[in-house]
Amino acid sequence: MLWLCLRCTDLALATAGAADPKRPQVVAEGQRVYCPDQAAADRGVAAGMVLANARALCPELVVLPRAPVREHAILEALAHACHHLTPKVTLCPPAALLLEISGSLKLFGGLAALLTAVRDTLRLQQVQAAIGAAPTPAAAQLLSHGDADPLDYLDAHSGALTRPRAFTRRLHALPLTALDCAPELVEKLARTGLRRVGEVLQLPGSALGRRYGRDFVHYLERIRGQRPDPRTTMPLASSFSRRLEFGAAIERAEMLLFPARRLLHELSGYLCARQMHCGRLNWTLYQEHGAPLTLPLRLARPRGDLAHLLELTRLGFATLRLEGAVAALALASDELHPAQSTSGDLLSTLVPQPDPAGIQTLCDRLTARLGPAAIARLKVQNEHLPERASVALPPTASVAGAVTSPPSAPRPAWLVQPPAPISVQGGKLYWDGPLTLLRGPERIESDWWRTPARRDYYLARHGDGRRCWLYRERRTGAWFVHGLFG
Amino acid sequence: MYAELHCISNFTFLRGASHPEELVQRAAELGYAAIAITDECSLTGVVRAHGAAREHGIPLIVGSEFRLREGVHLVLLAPDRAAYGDLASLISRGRRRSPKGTYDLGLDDLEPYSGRCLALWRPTDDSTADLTVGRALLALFADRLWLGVTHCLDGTEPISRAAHCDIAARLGIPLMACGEVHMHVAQRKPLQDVLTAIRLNTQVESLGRRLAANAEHHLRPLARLRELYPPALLAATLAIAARCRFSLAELRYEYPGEVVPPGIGPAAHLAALVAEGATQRWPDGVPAAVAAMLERELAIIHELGYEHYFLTVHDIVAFARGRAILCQGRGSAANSAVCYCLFITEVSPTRVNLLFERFISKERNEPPDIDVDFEHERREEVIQYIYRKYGRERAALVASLTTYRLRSAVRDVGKALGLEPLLMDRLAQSLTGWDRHADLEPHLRAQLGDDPRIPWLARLASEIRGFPRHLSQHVGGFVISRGPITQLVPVENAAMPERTIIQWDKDDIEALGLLKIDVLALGMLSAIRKCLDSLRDLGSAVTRLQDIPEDDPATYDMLCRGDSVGVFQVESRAQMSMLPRLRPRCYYDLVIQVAIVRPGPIQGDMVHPYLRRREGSEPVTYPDAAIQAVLERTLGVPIFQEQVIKLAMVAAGFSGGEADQLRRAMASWGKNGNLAAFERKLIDGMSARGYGTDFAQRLFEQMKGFSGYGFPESHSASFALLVYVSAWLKCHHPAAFYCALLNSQPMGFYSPSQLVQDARRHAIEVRPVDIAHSVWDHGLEPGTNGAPALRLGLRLVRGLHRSAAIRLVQSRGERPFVDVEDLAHRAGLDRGQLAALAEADALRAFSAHRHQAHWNLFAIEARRPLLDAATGTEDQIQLPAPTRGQDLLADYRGTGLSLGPHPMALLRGHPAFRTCARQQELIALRNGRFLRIAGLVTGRQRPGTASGVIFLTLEDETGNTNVIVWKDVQERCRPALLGGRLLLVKGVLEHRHSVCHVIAGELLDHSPLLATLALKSRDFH
Repeated sequence: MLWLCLRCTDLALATAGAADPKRPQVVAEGQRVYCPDQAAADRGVAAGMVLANARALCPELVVLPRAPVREHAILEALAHACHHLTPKVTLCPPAALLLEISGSLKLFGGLAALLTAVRDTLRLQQVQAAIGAAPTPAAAQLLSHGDADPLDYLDAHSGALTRPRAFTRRLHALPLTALDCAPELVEKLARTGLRRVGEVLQLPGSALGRRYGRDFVHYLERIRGQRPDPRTTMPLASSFSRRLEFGAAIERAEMLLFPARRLLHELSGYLCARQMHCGRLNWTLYQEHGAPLTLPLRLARPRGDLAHLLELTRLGFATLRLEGAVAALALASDELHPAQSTSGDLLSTLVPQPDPAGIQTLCDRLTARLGPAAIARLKVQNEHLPERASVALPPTASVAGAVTSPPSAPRPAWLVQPPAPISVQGGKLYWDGPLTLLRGPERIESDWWRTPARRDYYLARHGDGRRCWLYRERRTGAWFVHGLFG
Repeated sequence: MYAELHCISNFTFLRGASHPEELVQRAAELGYAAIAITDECSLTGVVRAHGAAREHGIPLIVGSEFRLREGVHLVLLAPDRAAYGDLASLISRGRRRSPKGTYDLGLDDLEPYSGRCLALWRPTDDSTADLTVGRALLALFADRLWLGVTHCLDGTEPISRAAHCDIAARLGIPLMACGEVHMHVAQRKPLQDVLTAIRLNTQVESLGRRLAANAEHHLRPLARLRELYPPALLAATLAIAARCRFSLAELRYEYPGEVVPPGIGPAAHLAALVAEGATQRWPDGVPAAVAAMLERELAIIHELGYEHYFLTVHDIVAFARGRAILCQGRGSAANSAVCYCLFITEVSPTRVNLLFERFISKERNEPPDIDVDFEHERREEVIQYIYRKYGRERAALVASLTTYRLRSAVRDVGKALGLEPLLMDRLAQSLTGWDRHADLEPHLRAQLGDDPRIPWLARLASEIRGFPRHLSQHVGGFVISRGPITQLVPVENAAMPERTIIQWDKDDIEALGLLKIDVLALGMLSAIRKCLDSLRDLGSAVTRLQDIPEDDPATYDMLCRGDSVGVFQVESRAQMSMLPRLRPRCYYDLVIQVAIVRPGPIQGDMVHPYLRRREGSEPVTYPDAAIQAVLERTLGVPIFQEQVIKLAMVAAGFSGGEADQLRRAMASWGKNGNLAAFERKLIDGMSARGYGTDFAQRLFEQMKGFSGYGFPESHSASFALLVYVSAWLKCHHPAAFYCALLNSQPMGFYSPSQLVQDARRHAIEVRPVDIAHSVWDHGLEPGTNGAPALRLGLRLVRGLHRSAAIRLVQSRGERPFVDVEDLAHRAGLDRGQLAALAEADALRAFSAHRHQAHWNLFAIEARRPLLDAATGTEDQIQLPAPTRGQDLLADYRGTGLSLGPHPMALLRGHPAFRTCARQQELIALRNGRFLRIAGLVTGRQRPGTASGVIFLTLEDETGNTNVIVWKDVQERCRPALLGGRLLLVKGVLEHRHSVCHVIAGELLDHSPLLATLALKSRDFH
């Protein structure tokens, strides 16, 4: 058995993207720095520092909240991509993967070549990771905390442990913090003056067990390979769907090929692990402005190789006409076929069921006859200004959510929007006929923080008998009709 | 023709958008017949309103608004003193049963308090419910109930008015008009919206209809009201106002009666106590001058009726003395001969007699002011005594008002306007110490960019500054009354359990002429008492304050050297460098020393003239005899607050009343601009009398400096006594002194580590914490060289509980511990406690070193008794001993200090520090010399009075060095300055008056070297 541990060193920053590449940035957890980028670290910002102090050191600092969910997504994406290398991939959250590679050595032509493939995968997935290699998974995890080159102690071809003393020396030199145990236990070990993994490994197990517990001794035995350490390989989803957010939006279609290649690489890793081919690629381009663009690409026959999928995508993207910059790219593939088997496409037709509810049918008919703009559903909004106090929704829209009661003052059902100017002649109001004020004013003053509105509303009777809702703009003294009572 | 009877101020926190003073002034300007301030279940704002009402000549009506459990909205007004008592009691009832800041009242609570108050009822829109409520209220208030109608153009009036008329007619309740006012002018609407957003913890934009629809809830002109309300409704307000004759000026504070025994008058009782005290003070007969002084003081006290006040303070002090709690009075009345005879102060009138102004003066119309400091660890006993003696109904703490300051204002307003919270945090950081309010908007623009909300942020943040946020408890001001205190002022809960506060702060108390007694906590008194106790144990002749000899030259010599770590008041960096310049030689010099390193004299630029005159390098002159009388004791330079006020009278022609206003304005400067009003008057008055404008200007600057930190001579005199006492103890009984200081932590300026280092520099043998010798407190043991040695106590062990330590000491008393298991078993210590002892290196009796101690005790935790015999051989394992560096770091972790070598001593050999000087070598170096010095940063200070400079304290193995860092170096070396724990400073040495400073030119951060101490391989020695 030969295990590789890939421990990601910049996951938190990778989730953040580059908001402003010129400014130093940190990922923060609560009020503390979780991970500074290089520029911030150069200014003296360190992990664990209180944010206020970090800002004092570096006033232009960009602070981004930590996003554990997205960190996990990146780790999973890397795990999928690693299926190129071996089907035995184990997730070790929050930041590591374990690969059992003894079965892949022949395929790749030896350990050295396989390690090169690992580094290529990391580069393509744009993740920085430290690599530890050892005959046991626990030792591989430990060694991923150091900077030892696996080829210093493993045979470059067979991967066999040919220089065991070099291996032990490197393992023993690691600090206690590299141990995969609770911080309290590490602290307790440090209290007795122990500083290196080797110092712990040299103490008798019974003495350690009495002080630090049986579990800890078992862990040490797993490191040495004296106790079995089975690991659960990662299960694979039944279909593939990934979305990649860009730190900075991409403006040109050909530039999209780089992230597309990353997604396809991941897809082909997934297909390889499941021994499947895919019959269709569904690309979705999320534009900064405008609706998402979808690009379904059908394959003549199911394939799984990266080069072919990439070429097809390149051709497909060339046909696209972008309306603006693209902020994210998604790839989904749900048409999977066992590799080397051919099968016909499934044809499925979805026929919408007619809505039995009468109102719905009526709305549909009205809409069909009068056009979609002619029919709407009014919803009361919790706002003072009449033009914002209700919204017109499509008749089919759901009105779920908090129900807002209308204001207790009288309100017309028909809003004249925009408000119609009223002319004033000889002190009398005219709007397609004379208007007589009946009641008022109701004073509404709002929105001082953007476009101030200061209005006095009145109920009035039109010459033709209609009741109108007028207001006088207090700043200018101008009059407007804003509504008609039914 | 109209009186506003429903009006809330900003003391209805986060609802009202105007100060009570603004509301009152506006009502007067509009010609209202009267105004009521009716904050929700609170009378906190009424004293301010009362002051403004007197100033603007408009009757103030005291009232309060309530929202009852049943949803009833009600305003109660106090027509007379008795009704006022009902109102205050009702508020207290609602507040006392509810957590801090809230209240809880229902209709059924009103009954006992409803017999005299007038009630304005604000019905809802639900007429069925209204009828029920109306009947209930009618039963309670009968002909003292009105139905309040508000017309605020919300569009519902025609309908709601009809409904209200209907209810009124059906129940026979008269209607009246009221504005439900929230602000004094309509322009406060944006602020009111922001307050709503802050209250509901959201943004203005997302409030929607939870904001008021318009700005009509302000004080509107009479003409406008006439358009909106029928005349009868307006006339009703006048009728109600006319029934409200109560004024806060009627409140008479009545002292608790029990301080005077039955059958004797208060004056006679006080005189008897004073006479008795005088014979104790002067067993050989009271000096004639003192006797005359006593007679005069008693006469003034009698004339002003202050006997009960002195008797109450005496009672509290007598309790403390009975419990051997050290205390010391200070304040304008505290240093009187009467107080000396009542043992309220130890400052003898024979000692200071002619130097002081008279302490109580009827012309000055100041209430007597006695603050009493108690040992900080035992003040609670005194507070509990007060509660026990007078009961919670009659004694409560004065409130302290927390108001919006610029930083909190910007943060809260910014959030309400929807600005990014992270941005707001950064902005608030940048506003630390910001005082140029005029430049606020450009500053905000520079920080936030061109956001359209910035002008609003600037304007609203300025408006909200000074708005009250909540009430908390004053540090120790008690109001004690004869009857229930809730008849005088409402009482509510403080955050601390079992503490109640009144709804007024100290300014309110003072404005109404009520008396408070300050029961304060002072750490130094604890230390002095502990020191005297241990002197008694050592068999010293000095066991009481009175035993300490006066005018001891050795003590003053020590102070003149600036050797003052641990000494009360003069141990700070600034004081320490002032001591060798001022060279105090007598008690009164100490009075000046305490007062001179303060914002007042520094901002008034009075320090250097005083020092020059004292050195004799400038002649002592006086413009005239009147000024000479005021300034003679301070060589013609005003140092004390009293002198500045007196000068305003003597040199600028202020009347007694004006001087009194000036004193108040000085106390509240920064909260309002009252002081600025006196600037012109002072300068004009002084130039009219022939004094230079420059002198007048500096005097005014000094007034500004005094404000907020007002430091009067009367306080300084009491403090100086404790300065002398603590200095004498340090000089003559250093081991006992340091021991007492360490046992009174936290207090003072220095950490235990710094105190222990200072003790060792004074050749005191300090012995480590050890479970075989230490008790909880630090103690004295016979030393090797005859002088007592200081044994560190278990209290220093971080993470060790006091109860565990006491068990340990008890079981050790039965027989010594034989091993860790014996210790753990007999003292009942758990793993955490044992680990704490091991980390403090207190287990050296059982283990060769810390590592082994931890190793051994980890083993016993898990061991079960039955398996005891089976202790294997693996326990023979010898772990590597810690290096000195590791020990040092663990010492700090375990106890906060180390008796081992100083980190700098261990690191001295490192190439980085090879050319660095040690602190003790500085004195021999030439002034102005370039040098390097390195040490641990133990202090960073940016004094408000020094322009932008930062003082760093660097500690090395020989002592502390002051480093002065100017702006340009701060900018250049910011990371090192802010983050460095171990710094190397390149700079220039400055000597003056045997004090050394280093003016920093560059700071280099070598903190990572501290971590290397933990490594085995590197030990630079």
